[in-house]
Amino acid sequence: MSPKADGQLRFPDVADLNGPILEVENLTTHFQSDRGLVRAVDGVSFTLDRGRTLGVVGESGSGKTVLSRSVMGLLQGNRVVKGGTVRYAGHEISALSPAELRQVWAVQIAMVFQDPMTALNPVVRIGRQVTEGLRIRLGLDRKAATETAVALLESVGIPSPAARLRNYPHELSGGMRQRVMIAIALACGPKLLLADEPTTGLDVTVQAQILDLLGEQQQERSMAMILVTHDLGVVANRTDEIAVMYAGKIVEKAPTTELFAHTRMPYTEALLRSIPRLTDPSHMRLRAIPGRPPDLVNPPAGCRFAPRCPYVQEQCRQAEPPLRNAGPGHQFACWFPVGSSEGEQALAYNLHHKVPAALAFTGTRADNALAAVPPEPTPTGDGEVAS
Amino acid sequence: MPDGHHDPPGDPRILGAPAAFSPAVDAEVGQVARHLHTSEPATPTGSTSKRGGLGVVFWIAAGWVGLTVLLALLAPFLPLQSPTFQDYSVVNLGPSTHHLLGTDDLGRDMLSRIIWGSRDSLVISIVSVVVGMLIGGSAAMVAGYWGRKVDAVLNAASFVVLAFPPLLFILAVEAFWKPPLKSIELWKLVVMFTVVAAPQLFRVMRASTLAVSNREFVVAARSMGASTWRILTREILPNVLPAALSFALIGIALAVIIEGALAFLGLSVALPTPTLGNLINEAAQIYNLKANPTAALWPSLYIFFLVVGLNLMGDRLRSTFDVREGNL
Repeated sequence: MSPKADGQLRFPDVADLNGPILEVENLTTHFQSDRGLVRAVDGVSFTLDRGRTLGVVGESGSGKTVLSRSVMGLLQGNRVVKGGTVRYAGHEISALSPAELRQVWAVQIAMVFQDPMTALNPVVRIGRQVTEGLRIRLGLDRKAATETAVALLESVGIPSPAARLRNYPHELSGGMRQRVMIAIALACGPKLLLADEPTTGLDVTVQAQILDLLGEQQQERSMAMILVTHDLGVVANRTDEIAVMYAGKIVEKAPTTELFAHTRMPYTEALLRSIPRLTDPSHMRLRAIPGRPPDLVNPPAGCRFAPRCPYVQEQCRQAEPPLRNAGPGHQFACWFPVGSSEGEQALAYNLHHKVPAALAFTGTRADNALAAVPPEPTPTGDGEVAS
Repeated sequence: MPDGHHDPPGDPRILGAPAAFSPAVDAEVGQVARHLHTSEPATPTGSTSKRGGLGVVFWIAAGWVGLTVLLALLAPFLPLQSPTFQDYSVVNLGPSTHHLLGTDDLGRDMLSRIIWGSRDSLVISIVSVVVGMLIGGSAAMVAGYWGRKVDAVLNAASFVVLAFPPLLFILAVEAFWKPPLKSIELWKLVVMFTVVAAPQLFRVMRASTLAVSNREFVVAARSMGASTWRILTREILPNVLPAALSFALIGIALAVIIEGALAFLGLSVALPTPTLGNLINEAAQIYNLKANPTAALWPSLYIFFLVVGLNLMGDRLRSTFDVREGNL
């Protein structure tokens, strides 16, 4: 099938689609800066089937937002160095011109932005912001667009939607604004929704409502979704698959339950450990990951997480671990994976030698590890890892 | 956390987080929230009077400026003497029922001269600022939105024009450019004032376009497939315009004053055409000033209140539309 006939892009009906709705292959997005090339996204590959949800998790600066914007093709300009391919419903959208991309946006792929405080135009009424896409992209007349907008606002749980159309963004609360953002993104019936930290800046109860709303809408519309967040708790029971990003790369990717049950990558483990637990004593120190993400201009040789990793060995600082398979759909990039004998050995070795990053581990695991003087660990091979 | 009283289920490693979003809690929270929202009054909150928002002073100022503009517009239809009709039997009179503001040294009706004079003064000031805003503003939006080379070129151009002292520039043009017809003399002033106004408006609007262009809602609009034209006119312009408008009002006031200053140098529209500046200039000649000081007083007061009114309006608009993210 040709992506272009008479200048209009034609996409197959998603229901007829066999194969994934989104295939991202070796995607790189680098920015030219005065200090050098910032490798914000550095070789990311994943696929997403229609109607499924992928969670992208990582801390600030790990490249999540750049990844979602690169997938959409929103990053343009002569300081952006792009590489790799993004295929949407079989079409390589990463090769499209900006004008062609505009046909894809909103109708095929839409985005819910991070901050509803800034992503709505403060001096334009809600009504026009919601109906704009409907009128330009779907060609509805004013009346039909307004009716659709009322229905949309109602479906995202905004009370008295007709009255809200006349409001300005500052007259709505943060949660309401994010609902409006979602309504705008859903207006043209996209088949793929990118939600870039949709709950940042909202309080916890509203976060839950917004995430539920996204889930509901996704079900109703059998839409695929990429949920970008820094909060593993957010994606824990709302995604089919999770990709953990660190310093511009995917370091672990697995079906959600598998990821939580058989964590392989020390970074994922550290993220999980950093979530405060209800069973913790009160006033306990948070188990933050020590250190900071690496400089993306000069990333360290070897594993990029090495400087902060409790399991780190000499090998990690020299050679970058490839993405390896550990069961169906589960991939990780680590020489001394969590839960393997090599990993345990590495941790024990580091604890014994008082490597600072490892000292974050305390309790029985550390006691066990320290019981015997451990031998120097050797990394696992390229094959499957026994669990 | 809403789940303090719930027993956290599931994998102890992800405790807390999934529990916080467990469906039961969500439903509860959702209901409470829905209840809260529906108990809100259904009327939009924007009904607090906008008039009150701008204040009494603004509306008095706007009323005065509006009246001035209206009088100037309607001058041909008002029951006024011709501003250039000379009646030597009524020279240098004080206010009377025949001549509400008296007459000048040639027996011309002052009220008529002021209203007709404000007509030319306002045409010069308003047209030049509006045209300057169209030219400077569109250049500013192009420069601010595209940035880089386009911005560098337009920016440099604005600096070049700004580098000329305005009065010197006008004097130079006056010296070298004689319009072929008397009737277009007025428009020569308009052109010169436009050249002075455009780069200033460019600078103000470029700065705000730069700030607005990088805001998230511009990316959001782009992600919905909005064209560049649409983003410029419907997303950025409404954010840039209020500040530019208040600046333009003050610019109009400034232009009225500059016209007065030019008249003092004899460089405004050629006499006997009345402009506010010409009126003051004529009446302020030393022999006139002694014989009839009110002839200078009335147009001066007229300019004073017009300029104060425009400034008050501009200032009030600026403080009203000076929206800061934090105040939202």
